[in-house]
Amino acid sequence: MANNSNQLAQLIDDAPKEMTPAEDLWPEIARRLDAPTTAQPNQLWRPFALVSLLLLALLIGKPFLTPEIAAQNHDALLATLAVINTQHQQQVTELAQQATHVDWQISPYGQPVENGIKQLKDAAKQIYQNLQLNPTDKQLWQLWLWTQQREIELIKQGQNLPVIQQKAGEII
Amino acid sequence: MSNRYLIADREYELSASIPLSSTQKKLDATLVELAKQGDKIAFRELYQQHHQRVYALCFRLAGQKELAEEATQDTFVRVWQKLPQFKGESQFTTWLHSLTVNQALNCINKHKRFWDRFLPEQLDADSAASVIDYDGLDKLIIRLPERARIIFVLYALEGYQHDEIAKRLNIAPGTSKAQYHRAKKLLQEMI
Repeated sequence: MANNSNQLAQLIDDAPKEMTPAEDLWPEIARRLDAPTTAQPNQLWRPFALVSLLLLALLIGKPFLTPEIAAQNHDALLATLAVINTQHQQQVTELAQQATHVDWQISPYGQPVENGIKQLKDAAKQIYQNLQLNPTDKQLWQLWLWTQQREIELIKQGQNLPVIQQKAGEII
Repeated sequence: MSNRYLIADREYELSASIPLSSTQKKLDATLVELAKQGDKIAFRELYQQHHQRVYALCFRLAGQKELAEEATQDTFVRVWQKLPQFKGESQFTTWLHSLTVNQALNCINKHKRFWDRFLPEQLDADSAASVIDYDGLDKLIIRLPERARIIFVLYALEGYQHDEIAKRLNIAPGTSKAQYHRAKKLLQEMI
């Protein structure tokens, strides 16, 4: 055993410090260095969630603010409102692009979902207009954010609906 | 043990056991500064200077060629991304060594999590043992169980202490010692 121990110590001493890979690893590294670092599509909810959280904190803290500060926040709220609206529209557009690949509207269950989405859109539009007039209304904010969230959920549900192949026509 | 190159300030260099020459240090420093400014030719030269040492470390930690290649590539991509944060307070090789160990361990864990869903542990060990193109110690350490191999490589070849290994692997120092002795015993049996 002592002999084996000496042999192991010798093997450790003799172990080369460098090894040459069998393949050239640089081309893949170079390709990855050139690749743009873009945000993943499934991370789009993050800025939306962050803004919503900030907004909620702002609304909860509103009674503690002085009237002067509240007046200044009026503009900030309107700006936030516009940002959230834009982000929501972007998210809906991206989901709509996915829908062209899934073609869920031809599902027999698609019509009620589409009706629901349309109603939600109309409601959200009205709430948005009212919010622009009264951006400090906490309940309107909550309702507006809920309609947006529900719209996204419904679109995603629609994309998971079963599609009847005979009626499907061209499905990509 | 001559191949353990624990240096005075307890940092580890990703170089041969002989100290880095001042010329090599200056070359590294120049290439790093250029690469920091986005010079890919300089970065490629850094890769050329150090990839064999990085690959050796990755291979011994991973125990297989494919994973070692992936870990080496991951390491250099990470180096490129993190270079702006390298302030030159330590030698580039010291920094690269630490980054390589982290990246190799991450790579091993990532693959383990993925393959654990499909393969029993035995199959994984068999695939490692099928590598026959290596000599000396490398031929033996790839046959060690993963945890024992990693600890043996870090302790016996890279000069880490058990408490440092324990911190890296999130285990108790006693576990690191036990795994090292297990690895040593298995290697002695293999000889």
